[in-house]
Order: sequence, then C-alpha cells, then structure tokens
Amino acid sequence: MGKGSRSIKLLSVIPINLLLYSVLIIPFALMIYLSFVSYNPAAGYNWWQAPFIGLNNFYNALKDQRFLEAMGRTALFVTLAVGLEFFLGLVLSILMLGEFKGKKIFTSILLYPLMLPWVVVGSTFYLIYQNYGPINQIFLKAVTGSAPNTAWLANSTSAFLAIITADLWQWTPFMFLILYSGLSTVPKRLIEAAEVLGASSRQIFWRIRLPLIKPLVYIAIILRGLEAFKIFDTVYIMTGGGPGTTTETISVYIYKLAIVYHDISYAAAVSLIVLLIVGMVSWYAIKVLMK
Amino acid sequence: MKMDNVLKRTVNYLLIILVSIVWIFPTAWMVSLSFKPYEEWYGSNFIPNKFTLTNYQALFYPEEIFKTVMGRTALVASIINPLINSAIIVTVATFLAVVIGFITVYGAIRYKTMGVFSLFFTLMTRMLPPATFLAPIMVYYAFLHLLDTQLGLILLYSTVTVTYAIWLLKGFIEQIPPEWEEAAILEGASNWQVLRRVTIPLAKGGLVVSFFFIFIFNWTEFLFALVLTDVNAVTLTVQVGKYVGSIGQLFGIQAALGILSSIPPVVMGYIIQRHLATGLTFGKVR
Amino acid sequence: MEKLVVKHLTKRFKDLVAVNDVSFEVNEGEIFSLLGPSGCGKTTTLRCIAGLEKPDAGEIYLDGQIINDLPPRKRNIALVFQEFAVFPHMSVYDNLAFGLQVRGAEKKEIDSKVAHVAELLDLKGILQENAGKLGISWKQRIAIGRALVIEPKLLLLDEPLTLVDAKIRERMRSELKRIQRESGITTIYVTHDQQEAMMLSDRMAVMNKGLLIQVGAPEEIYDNPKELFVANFIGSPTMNFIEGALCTESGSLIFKANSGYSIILSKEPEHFISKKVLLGVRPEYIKVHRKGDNNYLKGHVEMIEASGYRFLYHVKVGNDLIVVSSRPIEGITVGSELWIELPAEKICIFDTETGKKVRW
Repeated sequence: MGKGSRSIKLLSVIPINLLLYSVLIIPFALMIYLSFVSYNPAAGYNWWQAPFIGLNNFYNALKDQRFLEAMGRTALFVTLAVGLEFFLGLVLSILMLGEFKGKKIFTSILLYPLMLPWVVVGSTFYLIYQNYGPINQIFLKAVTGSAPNTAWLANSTSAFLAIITADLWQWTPFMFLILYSGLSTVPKRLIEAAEVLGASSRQIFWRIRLPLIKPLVYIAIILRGLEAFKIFDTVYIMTGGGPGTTTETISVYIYKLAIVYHDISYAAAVSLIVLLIVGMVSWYAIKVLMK
Repeated sequence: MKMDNVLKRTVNYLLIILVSIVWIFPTAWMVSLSFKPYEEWYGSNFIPNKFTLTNYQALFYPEEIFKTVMGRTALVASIINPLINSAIIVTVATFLAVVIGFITVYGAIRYKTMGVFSLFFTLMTRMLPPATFLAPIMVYYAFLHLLDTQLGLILLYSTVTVTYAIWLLKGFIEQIPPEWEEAAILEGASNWQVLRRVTIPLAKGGLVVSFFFIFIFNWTEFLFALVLTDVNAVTLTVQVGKYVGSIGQLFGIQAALGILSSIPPVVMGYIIQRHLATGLTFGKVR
Repeated sequence: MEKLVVKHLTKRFKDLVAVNDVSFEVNEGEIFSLLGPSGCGKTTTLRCIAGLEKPDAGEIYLDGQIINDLPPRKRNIALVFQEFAVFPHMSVYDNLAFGLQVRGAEKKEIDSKVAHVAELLDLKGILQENAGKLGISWKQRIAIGRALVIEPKLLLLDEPLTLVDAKIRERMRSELKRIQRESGITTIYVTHDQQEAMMLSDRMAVMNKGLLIQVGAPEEIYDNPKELFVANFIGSPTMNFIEGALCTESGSLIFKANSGYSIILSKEPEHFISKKVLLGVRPEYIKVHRKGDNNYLKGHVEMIEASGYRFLYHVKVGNDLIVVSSRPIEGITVGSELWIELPAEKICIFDTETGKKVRW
C-alpha cells in the first residue's frame, strides 16, 4: 500500500459511522424503547414512565388486519408502480436512442416532475382527478362527448390507480434517466462490432445494450422500490388513505397511528416490523441480483 | 427498405408527441393553477378566466393578500427566508453526503474497509417509514438544541442520503480498472494523489449524477423538514404545506410555489446536462 | 478473379478529405495490406468497405455485386477492430457464436462451427470463461475467431497487432498468416508497420494523406517504388538518398552528386532529361570493396551500428552519409577507408520536384 492509505481508510470509516450513529442511533433506540412500552401522549404520564409491556405491540401488529392489508396494498403498489416505471423508462430510452429533433425539449418535459416538491404533485393530481377537474371535463368529454360524473378519488380501485399515475408521472423520469444514460454510453465499438457481425438494431439492443447495464438497472429498481414502499405525501394529499382505508399505504397507516390516534408505541412496533421485512427482502434481492 | 424507415420514423414521432402531451399536462395544469384566482382552483377550465398574479404575490407579500382575499388564515411569512434556508441546507447536506459517500465506498472497494453488509446497513436508513421516527428525532433534537436550526436539518439530510451516494457511486468505482491506480502508485504517487488524479476524474460522471439526484431529493423533502423546523430554518417545501387556510388547501399558491421552487433544480440540471449523459458510463471496451 | 473492387472511393469529414479517389482490387484468397502512416486514410477505407462509413463518391464491388447501399450486417464482411471490442458480458463461446446466433442458425451448426474455429485458434479450453476478464492475446483471438465463424466473404483487420506486446507480436503475425492460409479467406490488413505488411501480404497498397500511391506485391514495391514517399516509407533501414543531378557525358547517363562525385548509370540510356534528382539505393544492396575500381565511390567509416549478424556502416562519401548494411567485415573499424559500389540495377532515381521515379 502506498502512503496515505491509512488516512484514507480512516476517513472512509469514521465520518460515516459518526454521522449515522450520532444522528440516528439515539432516536432509533428511543423508538425501540417505545415499541416495548405502552405509551400514549394523551394518557397523562411521561414517556419515560410508560409501563413495559414486552412484545405485546408486536403480537398485536401481526394480528392487525388493517396492518396486514396496508402491507399487502403497499407491496402491490410498489410492484405495479416500479414495474410500470421501469417499463415506461425503458420504452422512453429506446425512443430517445433514435435521432430526432427536439430531443432536449422532450427530455426537459419528461424530467420536470422530478424537480417539484412532492406535496405540490399531490395537490395538482388531487385537483386533476376531481369531479369537475380536467379528466372528466376535458379529456373524457372530448373522447366520449359528455363529461361523466365519476369521482375518481371516491372509488377505491380508481383512487388506487390515480395514485399510481401520480407516482408514475413523478418517478418514471428517474428510471428513464438512469436507463438512458446507461444505454447511450455503451462503447460505440461494441455496437459496431455487433453490427458488422450481422445484428439488427433490435438484436443489438437486447443482446448488447441491455445486458451491459444490468447492474445499473438493479440498483435503480432497488432504490426506487425502497422509496416507493414508503410513499406518503401523494397518498395523504390525494386520498388521505381513503375512501375508508382502501388506499392506505403502510406509511399512511403508521402516520395515522402515531399522529392521529396518538398510539405511538404501537406505531413504533409496526414501523420496526416493516423495517425488518423490507430489510430482509432487499438484502435477499441485493445478494441475488448483484453478485 | 425506404418505406420501412419512413414508417418507423413516423411512428416514433407520433409516440414522442403523444408522450409529450401526456407528460406535460400536469405541469401545464399546475402552471394554469398558479395563475387562477381561488374560486377557479377546482374548476375544469384550462385557461384561467381571470388571470391573476395574486398567487405569486402571496408568496412574497403574504399579509396584504391574505387579509383582503383569503379571509382569516394562518399567517404565512414571505418565501425569501425559506428559499435561503433551502438553498443552504440542501447544498451543504448534498455536498456532505456525496463526499462522505464517495470516500466511504471507495475505501470499501479498494481497501476493503467494509463489506457488502455494512454498505447494506446504510441502505437501511431508507427503509424505515418516517412517521414513527418523527417523534423520537424531535425529542432528540430538542435535547441537543438542534431544533429549528440549519445544522440540524443538514445533519439529518446528509445522514439519510449518504447511502444513495454510496450505492450510485459503487458501480462507477468498480468499473475503474485497479491497474490504472496501481500504475500511478508505482510511479510514486501517494494514495491521496491517486485519488485526486486518477479516480476522481474517472468517476466524475458518477459524482455529478449522485449530486444531482441527492440534491433534488433533499430539495423536495417534506416530512422531516416539517417536523424539525419552524421559523428559523424552515425550508421551501414546508412552506408549501403551510398554505392551508380557512378555505382548505391553497392550491393556487402551492402551485405557484411549486413552480418557483423547481427553478433551482432545473437550472442545476441544465448546467450539468453535459455530464449527465456520460455520467453513468458502464463498460470499457478493453 | 477479383473478390473486391474499389473504384474511385472518396470520403470527406467536414473539410478533410480522408480518402481521395482510391481504387484497387483484391484477389480471392490473398492477404492484401493497406499500408501507410497515421491519418493516411487506410482505416477509413476499411470502414467504408465494411459499411460503417458512407462514401461520398465511388463504388465498392464484392464478388461482382455493388454493395454501396448495403448496411454492414448484410455485407457478410467481418471486421476485427484494433481494440478487439470483445463483448465483455458474454462467454467466449457466446462471443464466437454471436454472428451465427443473430442470423438464426441452428444450435448444432453453431456448435460445430464454433468448435472448428476454437480449434483453429486454440480457444477450446476457455470457451465457458467470461470474455471480459481475459488478457489481450486471448481477446485478440476471440475477436478474430468471432469473425471467422460467420465464414465471411472478406476478413478485414484493422491494425490487429498494434496493441499487442512487442514480444508476442512476431508470434501472432505468423499465427495470423497460418490461419489465413488454412482458412483461405480473402483478407485486407490495415497497418502502419511496413515490416508487418511486407512479411504478411501477398499484395499491398501504400497510402498517404488519403491518396493511394502504389499497389503491388511487396518485392515489387520494395525494389520498384514509384514515388519518393514509398521508397522512404518502406524498408528498414531506410533507403539512402543522395542529392544530385542527371547529365550526359560522352553518350553515357551520369548521376552527378552535389557532393562532387559521379556515378555512371547507363552506357546506353533510353531517355534523358536533365534535372535535379535524388538517387536512392537500399543499404543492403550496396557492395563493399577494399580496392577501388570504375564507378566505385571512396569513403570512410564514420560510425558502425553492430547488431548480431548485420552491421550498419555509416560511410561518408564526399558530403553524403551513406548507410551500408552488410555482414561484419573483418578489419573495418571507425575511420577505415573503403570503396562502395552502387549496383546500377538497384538504383532508383527520383525527380526532386515531383518525387516521382524517373526511368532511365
């Protein structure tokens, strides 16, 4: 090893641990503590006086229908949303690989949603899907002649889909950007070599470009998937989890538990369970996909 | 042969135009919202019947607008302060995240300072639903007197986004052939010089991309900013949430703020556009 | 029977004319080199033949058919790049099989053809290895094998040995020749190394600045360069050049060197034009004598470069320094006096102005 390797090694270990532990460990420990006690801010006693109840919160969570439904719903959402985002991102990258005028404008239009505060995205889509909003009054009127009276956000299925479209609008650009950058920077020589050997553009895409960006794709999907699982802002603003609890994703449920029902201990326990499950699934995903 | 080509190109063009229309629609709606007076916010007309700038004005001169138009609402301060806060907090936090992330993953790959599991561990910062973390961190920060400070939010943002830098940069660094660095060492360079002259230029694209993504991420973050700031360090996104009045959410003003707050990321994206495409290079030929 | 005919090929890149009205033919089964310094247009010519560049003018015929409008994948021409461009994410087998796979060939056919080529190139043992992780010499063979598997009509090689270690280069050169002979495939070989071209080719074309200067068999180009450029570029050590002029004296054609001495070129000259010329003669054709005679030049040895069996004597004649290549001569050291003979039949005369060879 050369000179300075020790300081590099130190710097590569100390700052990050310092950051993680000083900022997160204590609140996290607090959270764990909360999950093992029964604490309700409205109950009158302080949090350090809360009675110890062991694993009760966790047992309750596993029997909690609403919790299980929220998990399933969120998983479904993630699968659909991230899957569609990947697919759309791929199609868009393919489109962009060809030559045409106005590429820059097209890219700007596509990427703009990434720059907006998520709250605003939620609000805008909330209004768009309103009964008197543009979906009914403009689009469908133009297509079918009369404006239907559907309250999109009042029906569970359509509300769920509405949320997915909001997420798609916002995050497909993320996928697109990563995929496109990767695809367009495959070395030209490899493409030429394939061309000369007889491959058509389609074959080049599937056999050369796409396989070469596999590691990139996996990271993108995992990162995006993790974020998608925690989706909160858009759901809360568009439907508040409703109608009823039919669009309640896990983050929304936990939020309600903690902030609305003040059942913060239980909320902490639920969060930890989610952390565990998500952690195991993604660990497995990383191990398998990213040898 | 030629017909085939022409057909392909027209289909391509049509698709692109279709996608553009669909994609620009919500943005356009937002823009239109920002120029609509409050009675039109729920409306279906694309073009404002009564074009108005009050939404934008409300961002900068809240008192007058609120008193005369909105009736009694929560008084919201001008966005100058939040704008400055966001600028400082997000830039510093992103910078910190990228730098620490880079050196961490570099050490992990070249010097084996950490295994995959430790790197994965940092990823776990992104797996916890935020809601229940809010209260503990509030308590903790209160204890440390970090509530409503720029430093507090900077620390939190960099901590939770450093993992992005790590995982995005991992691929880049792994692509750099170690022989190039070894050659530099043989020529007498110290490890730091190798980093500076060999690794960083080669990973430049990755650094730029990471910075961009993390910046956007922090710039648009809402929940923690909401909880950890109040008056002094309040960020732009929190400001949006404050526009809730007696008539419900102030959509028009939110839209106006959304558009304004999207300007810095857009400008940044424009500046680094050159580096972005060459950014995520994978695969050298030899 | 010509395999490839290139007629008036021209390719421009903005202001630069990379290939300027180049025409040549390649015969079936031969190794044909495109030789020239960097930037002479040889690689661009190759890429036009492969279809990776679109010519601005000219036609390319393969087996009698014009192929200008065919995309690369339909030409059945294989190109091996200087950087090999092996597919790093695939195994050696998949690399070799790629060309056949994209044409939809049957697995059995692919297997047998790949096996055959693997045998030819000694790749059998590593077929399942990942190609991206192998060393340069392996990658080069994979790149060549990949090209051979599709049994192309034409094999194009773009400076394949440039990136290879000097030590291995010689061995690979003989390998390449052996492979070509065994497969009988018509090959075009681009290089800037004139020794390589001389050793490998059946015929070669010398290019410079986009222009095709001379085409012919290596010996022909070596002994009969049409232009100064060719004479200078080919041959190691380089040909000697002496400044002087042509004149007649008592019916004989004389070369009068600027340094003062003269050489009788011919007693019965066919042509004569009095002009300024450069006399060219290759170091290995010059004979060394101990005693003077007609037409011998007297000089003394200024420097000796010794290298195994061949010595280079730098002999000063008049004001000119002439390099003589010969077996080590006993008794000759720096400062020794000797006589050198320039055999008339090995002398080339070049017009100083045009650079073209003058017949005499």
